[in-house]
Amino acid sequence: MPPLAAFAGGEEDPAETLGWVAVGCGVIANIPFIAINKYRKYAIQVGGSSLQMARQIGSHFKTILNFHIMFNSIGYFAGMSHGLLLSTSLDSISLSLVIVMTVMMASGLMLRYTSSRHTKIFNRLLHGQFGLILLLISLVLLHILTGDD
Amino acid sequence: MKNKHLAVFALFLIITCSISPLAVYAEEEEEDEEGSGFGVQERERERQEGSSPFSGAILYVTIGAIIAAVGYTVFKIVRSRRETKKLQ
Repeated sequence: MPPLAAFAGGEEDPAETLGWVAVGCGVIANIPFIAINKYRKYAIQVGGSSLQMARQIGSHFKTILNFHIMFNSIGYFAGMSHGLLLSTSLDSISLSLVIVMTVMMASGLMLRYTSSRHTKIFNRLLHGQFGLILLLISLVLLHILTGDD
Repeated sequence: MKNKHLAVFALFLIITCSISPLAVYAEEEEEDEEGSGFGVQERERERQEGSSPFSGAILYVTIGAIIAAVGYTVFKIVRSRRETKKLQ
């Protein structure tokens, strides 16, 4: 759907639009999710009145998680479509970004949809690696800065 | 189990819907490029001149970071298993 919506537009470059869709979806999918998770962990540690808020977040966690998965999926496919459209201009930053996005997406999907305990533990640890998240953000910023070259 | 099959099918459908318009537009772009042979050669030369060792290093750093992340994850799992065994 994202590529179709991009081509339905006017004179703007659809490939560029898809790139911005990917970035926007990534921001919407991840920043609130990470913030909510951090707050929940903090509330559980602190206890007291914030524990009730943590419990409420816990009861809606599946909805929040589905929102996170949905927007990340849209962002992933928009990003891949952007890359396919601009595949003639492929550089190492774009390729690195594809690899990191695919690893994060695959680990996230396996974490959500596998039932094996070992696979879940492995993918939970991998998907939440701060280094990978930092690498992804850096590559996105580098790609945006060098994209017009 | 049924939900998993539905999820996989939905994913396949989304991928197909995403790629099919791209394949159509990619063919149109290729036809445009074939018309200007000298322009393609010039662009290729410019791209080769513009590439630097820095660009290759980013790819190696990324692959190294992913391998390091996977290795660190495996290390953490193995270490926690050893601690669990020691406690038992």
